[in-house]
Amino acid sequence: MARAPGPYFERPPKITVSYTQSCNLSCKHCYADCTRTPSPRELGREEWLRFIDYLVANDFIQVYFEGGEPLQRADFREVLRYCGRRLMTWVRTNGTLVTAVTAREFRRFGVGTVLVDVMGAHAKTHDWFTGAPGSFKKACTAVKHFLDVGIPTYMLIILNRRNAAEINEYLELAARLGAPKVGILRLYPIGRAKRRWDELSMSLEDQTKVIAGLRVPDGLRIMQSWHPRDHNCCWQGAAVNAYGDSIGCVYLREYVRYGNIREMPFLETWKHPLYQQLRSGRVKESCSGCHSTQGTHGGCRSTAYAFHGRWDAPDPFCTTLNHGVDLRELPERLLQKDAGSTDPAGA
Amino acid sequence: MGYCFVFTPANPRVFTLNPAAWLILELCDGQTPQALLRAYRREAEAAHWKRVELSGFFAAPPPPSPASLRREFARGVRALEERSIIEFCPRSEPSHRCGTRRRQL
Repeated sequence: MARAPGPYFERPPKITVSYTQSCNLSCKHCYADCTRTPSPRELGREEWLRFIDYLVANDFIQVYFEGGEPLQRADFREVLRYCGRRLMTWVRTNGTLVTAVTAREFRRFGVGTVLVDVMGAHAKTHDWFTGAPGSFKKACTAVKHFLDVGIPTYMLIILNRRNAAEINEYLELAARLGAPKVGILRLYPIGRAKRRWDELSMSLEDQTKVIAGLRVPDGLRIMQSWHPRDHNCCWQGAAVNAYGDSIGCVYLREYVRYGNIREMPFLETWKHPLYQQLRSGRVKESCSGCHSTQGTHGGCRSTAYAFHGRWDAPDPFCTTLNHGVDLRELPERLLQKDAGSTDPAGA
Repeated sequence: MGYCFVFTPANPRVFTLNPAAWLILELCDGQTPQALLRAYRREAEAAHWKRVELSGFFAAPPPPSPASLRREFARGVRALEERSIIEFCPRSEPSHRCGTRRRQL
């Protein structure tokens, strides 16, 4: 297959592991549509431990655990202990199950970075998303616990209509808590967020205004992926969901299946034709501004596919590539009951 | 030659090494600092002439001076040591890689 210009990996150096699709919360925007108890179909402890061995043996250097809520599973700590000194380990958590003891454990296990989801600057906003009064306080306390033990801890917020107005207060909150970095994430039309799109989505114009109006406190770093930072990171994407499916990226979870690690080695899935196509970076149109900062082409493949139904389409979240697409209106095919998830491309 | 990722488990971080730092890391196999510098100069000069050869010898830049290589080497060693990727024992002892994992691209 012809290779497009740009970055390219023969094998990925890092991978995202969606450890579980269970969670102690029931967030209104949950991409994984989590359940309270883990499904029996999820990979078991031994399977995850063997997968860590596989990653180490095959020169992976970093693993990023997320979920669901990884701590919802009792065996997660053991996997973390097994992993922490062998791979650079990141963990994303809602923070509500984190205590000072947890933070000390993470430190002892060698966890390198923690990311805590905090969905607003105020309890009223965050707790509305989680449906759990007190969850905001617990999440902020979790940030402090991890920072207290010396683990770099970032805060993550998914920008949407319910929290956009308080984004600058959010940055001030992050600075007060001592978080060195905030990730302002785009809202993706997957899971429960898709079903609440009318309620949560914003026009690209409004999103762009928010990003342009950020007042970043001194010392705080921001990660965001609007123009000119809209990157097509599929070139390095590696992810496995809780059932062992290789999916490239968690934002592709409803659209692709490249194979299952119970049935084949992960690097066999890396060869899947669609996986190779997405990593190739071949797109119909690219933004020179985003390319100059990110070195990639065409922006996010997940939102390009969601809104246009084509893998080589331009990402409408980039102002240069939007071409009049109203991000508040989802295509009908995404809203159909079995769109993607039961017969995903590549399955 | 591309880049090398290094993971330092003792203080969990991943670093991206440029070719100069990568070369120093590769050469850290228990040599004394003086032997390391000699090896670094040999490799760096060989790499320079290889680049010149590949460019067809036209408009060839001058080779790096011994002083500039020494400075580059010292900067690279300091940077690697500060990040606990290599460690130096006392002057009389050899240099070692710390317990790192590497991924080369």
